[in-house]
Amino acid sequence: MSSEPLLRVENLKTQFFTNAGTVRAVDGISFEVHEGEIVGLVGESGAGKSVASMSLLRLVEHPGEIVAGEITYKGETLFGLEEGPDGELREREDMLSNKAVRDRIRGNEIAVIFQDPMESLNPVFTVGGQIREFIELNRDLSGKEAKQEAIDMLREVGIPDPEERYEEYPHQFSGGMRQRVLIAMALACEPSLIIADEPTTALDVTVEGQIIDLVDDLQEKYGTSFVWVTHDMGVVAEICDRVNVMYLGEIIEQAPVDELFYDTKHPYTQALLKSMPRPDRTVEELEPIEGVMPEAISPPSGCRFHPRCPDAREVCQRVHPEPKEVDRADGYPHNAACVKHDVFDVGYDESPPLEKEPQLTASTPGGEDGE
Amino acid sequence: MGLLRYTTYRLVQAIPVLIGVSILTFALANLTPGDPVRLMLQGQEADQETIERIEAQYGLDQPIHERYLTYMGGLVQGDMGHSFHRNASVAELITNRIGPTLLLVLSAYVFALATSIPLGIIAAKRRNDPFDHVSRIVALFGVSTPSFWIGIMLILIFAVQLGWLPSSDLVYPWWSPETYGHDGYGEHFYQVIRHLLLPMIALGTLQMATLMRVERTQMIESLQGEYVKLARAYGVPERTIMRKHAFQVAQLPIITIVGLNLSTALGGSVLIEFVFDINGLGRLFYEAIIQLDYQLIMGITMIIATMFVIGVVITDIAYAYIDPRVTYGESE
Amino acid sequence: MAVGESQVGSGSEPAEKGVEPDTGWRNTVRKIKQDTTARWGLYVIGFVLAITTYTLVDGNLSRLTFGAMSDFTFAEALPFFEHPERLPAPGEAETNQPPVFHADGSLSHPLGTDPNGRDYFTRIVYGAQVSVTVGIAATFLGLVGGTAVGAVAGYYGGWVDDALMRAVETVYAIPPLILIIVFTVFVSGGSPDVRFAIVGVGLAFVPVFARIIRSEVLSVREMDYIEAARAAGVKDRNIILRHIIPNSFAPVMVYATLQIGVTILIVAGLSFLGFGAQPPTPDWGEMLNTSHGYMHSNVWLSIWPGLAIMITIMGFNLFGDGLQDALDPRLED
Repeated sequence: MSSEPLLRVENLKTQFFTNAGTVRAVDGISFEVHEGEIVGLVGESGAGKSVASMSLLRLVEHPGEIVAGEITYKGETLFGLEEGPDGELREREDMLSNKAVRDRIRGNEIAVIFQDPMESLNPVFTVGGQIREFIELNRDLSGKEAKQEAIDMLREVGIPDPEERYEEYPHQFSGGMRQRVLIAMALACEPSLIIADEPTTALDVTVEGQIIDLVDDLQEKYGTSFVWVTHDMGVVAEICDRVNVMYLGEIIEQAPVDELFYDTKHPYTQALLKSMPRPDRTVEELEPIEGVMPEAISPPSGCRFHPRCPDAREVCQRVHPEPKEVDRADGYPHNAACVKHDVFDVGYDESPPLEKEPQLTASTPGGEDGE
Repeated sequence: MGLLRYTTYRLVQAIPVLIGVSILTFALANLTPGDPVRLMLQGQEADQETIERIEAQYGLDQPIHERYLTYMGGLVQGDMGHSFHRNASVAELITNRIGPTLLLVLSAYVFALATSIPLGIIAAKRRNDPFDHVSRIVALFGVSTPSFWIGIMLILIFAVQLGWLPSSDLVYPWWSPETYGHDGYGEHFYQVIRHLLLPMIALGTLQMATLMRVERTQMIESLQGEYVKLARAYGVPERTIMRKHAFQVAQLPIITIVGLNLSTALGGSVLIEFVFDINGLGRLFYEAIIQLDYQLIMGITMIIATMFVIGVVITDIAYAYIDPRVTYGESE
Repeated sequence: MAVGESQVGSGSEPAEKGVEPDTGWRNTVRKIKQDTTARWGLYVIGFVLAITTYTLVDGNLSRLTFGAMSDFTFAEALPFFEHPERLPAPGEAETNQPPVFHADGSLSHPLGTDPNGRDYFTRIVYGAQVSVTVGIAATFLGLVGGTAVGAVAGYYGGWVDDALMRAVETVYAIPPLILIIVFTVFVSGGSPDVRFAIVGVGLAFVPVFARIIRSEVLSVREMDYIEAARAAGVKDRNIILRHIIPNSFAPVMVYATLQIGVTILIVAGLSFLGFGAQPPTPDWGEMLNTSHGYMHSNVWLSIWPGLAIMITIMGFNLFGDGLQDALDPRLED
């Protein structure tokens, strides 16, 4: 933990400026990825995981925008703001230009694997051609070498007869095979970091297992770091070294994986774990999390989780907790953003428990009415 | 290999449709109230003998199904019948007149494609900015304005008021410059373009507008595709994404629509040839209708339907060639 | 809207949309009201329909009261209006007068007069009648015919489907304008008029509607409640009429609206060539036919009818586009 991390994200904020109002999709998250690590980014849909991961590549789509924070990769500033002489925020001088990010970072340094292998490949080009294009773009290889590399990579990810499959089109591949192609594509560019955005969600469970094993092996072999975005705690347990749990745009708990599972510090993480099906539990024992996650456009006051939190007290409505170190394990801090821990010292123990309001399971979002 | 088989398969598939067209036109021509001979004579007095002679000449004294079979027999051998009013073979008349129509329709397509695709792409790229709004308004005008009226307006502006361009007839590029007294091929080509310009725009505007709308929608959809996001994430420059990744996928529906729109273009050529006094198939059709020259009408209808069907087959093949997902034929 | 995940769109799980559950027609109507495009389309359609209705009522009232339209119309009592069809006696009226804003124009003929000396403004207004009634009637005919063919083909499948679809393909293979001209001229025995045009256009548009309805029916047919109805012994005819057709109607309505525009476009062309409305009936296409001979002497004659056609069609296109946006969430911003 002494060495400089590969990627450091500090207080990142990404917002969407919609007609209905500003959506604070990512609201001040900080995390690090070290060399050779698989770091999980976990949360329900709408928590801001995907926006966060795309912000790393500065690929947030209109009307979204990164509005604050700092992203440092291998000592270079992918994103950073400073206060100009006029008091307005402006981009820092050492921040990489759009062209530099496109030419030097995307693909070369940080590659991605998307969720939907059926849609991610272009239907009108051959699979091999697509891999080759990205290799040629991101590595100094001739067309012929790039093709050989692409074929080698297809073999590496376990695609039989890679020479023949190279010439085939995406629709001739099954879902699992396409996901292997996307993995080959990512690895073939020899990046130091791969962002895997729910890469196994769209797959069958058996295929999911194979893909996770494959990534595990290849990760060890190539030493590539991963940011693994998922909503599945089971996948996290299998593959991640360290985990960040996101809720409504914030990281609410951050810990090494074992620590997170065995010494959970945040009620939300607890709830996620309890709602996860496991062989040693019957369906009756599963506890789904109450209610639905509110919209990021109008987050609840205080702790954003308090309306659904079993441990919520009056103070939780008022005090918005920033993640603080509540424990340490394996040289890493165990951070949690819950005021019930003593380090917060805001009077949680004295605060009266909240009267539970009945939760609407599909409430009409507030933004819609105001239109 | 697969493509050749697919082509054959599609062409064979078109045959029953064309047979259907022949039955339909034949039925329409023969269901007309009153007997065809009187219609042909258009009120001219004729004695019984003349009528019977004409009937015998055209086989009208035979039952209808036999007449159809005779007609079909002729069609198969390239004999499309005889024009009563012009006293000439229908096939010959059509051959003489098909060139200008093809020139007109094809140039209208070139105009439509050359304008609609770039404009549609730019509109998609600059979605919701002024360029997009203007191009959408232009497209709306294009799909709402009758082509023949656009022709009339073009004539009024560029021929009558400004006197820049001719308002009638075409100069055929396949005739030699000497026929027109042109000074060499340079002037010949210049005259061809000058004459073609207005009718081409008049006929092509509707196509341009429809294609532009489709191109815009398709590009917007394609640009939202996951494969575009993937290409961006791998550092592909935006220009390449526009021109290759998003473009190629977006063109697939365009190809289909180009084929289907041939129907409107061929119909429209009747109007445009009427407005611009072009001696093409459309004009011949109009004249045949006025004269109730029914063998000629049937012949032209058959030819136009055939052109449309062939156009659709060609675009289908082009589609299959570009989209790897199309499987050739029913077998396999 | 749950913008968070869905915008950056590697998508993750289907993001809950902040949209109310689809309540069918009410929801559509609400969206149309919000859509500027559709609203403007409705204004134009409403305006043109109002004119059409007025001219229809006036024409028929005067016909009932005075025996024939050519005798008198109530419109004549209004300022600017004259009789739309009656020819002034030779020498009585000024022919080819320019519009009012022209130096030689006069306020009594705001759009000037035609080569016969009739008031052009009145004729433009009355011209709406043919375009709009034929446009709507012919589209309706095509819709009914296409629905019948498409529903039967889609529901029964097999050889019925094959035969009907072959027939549909055949009709489709002939460009509509050509087919309509051939139909009107032959079936009318060489003297075409508007009634034949309506049937001809209707016939030519059966294929488009038949195809849409058929594909809708094919998708509806497999639904559980149809299976259930069939299992319960409901008659085929009743299943088609009571269940399948009502369920396939939404997309067809969009298409029908857009098709009215196309129909008006085609009917204008038909009249322009002289195969639609016949003189002295005022009709935009027919007026353009007449004015074609006066392109050099009186340009105004060619301008007004074309503008009228364009604005009318634009109304239907705007409304159709708005309707499409309202029904198709794919292109929403």
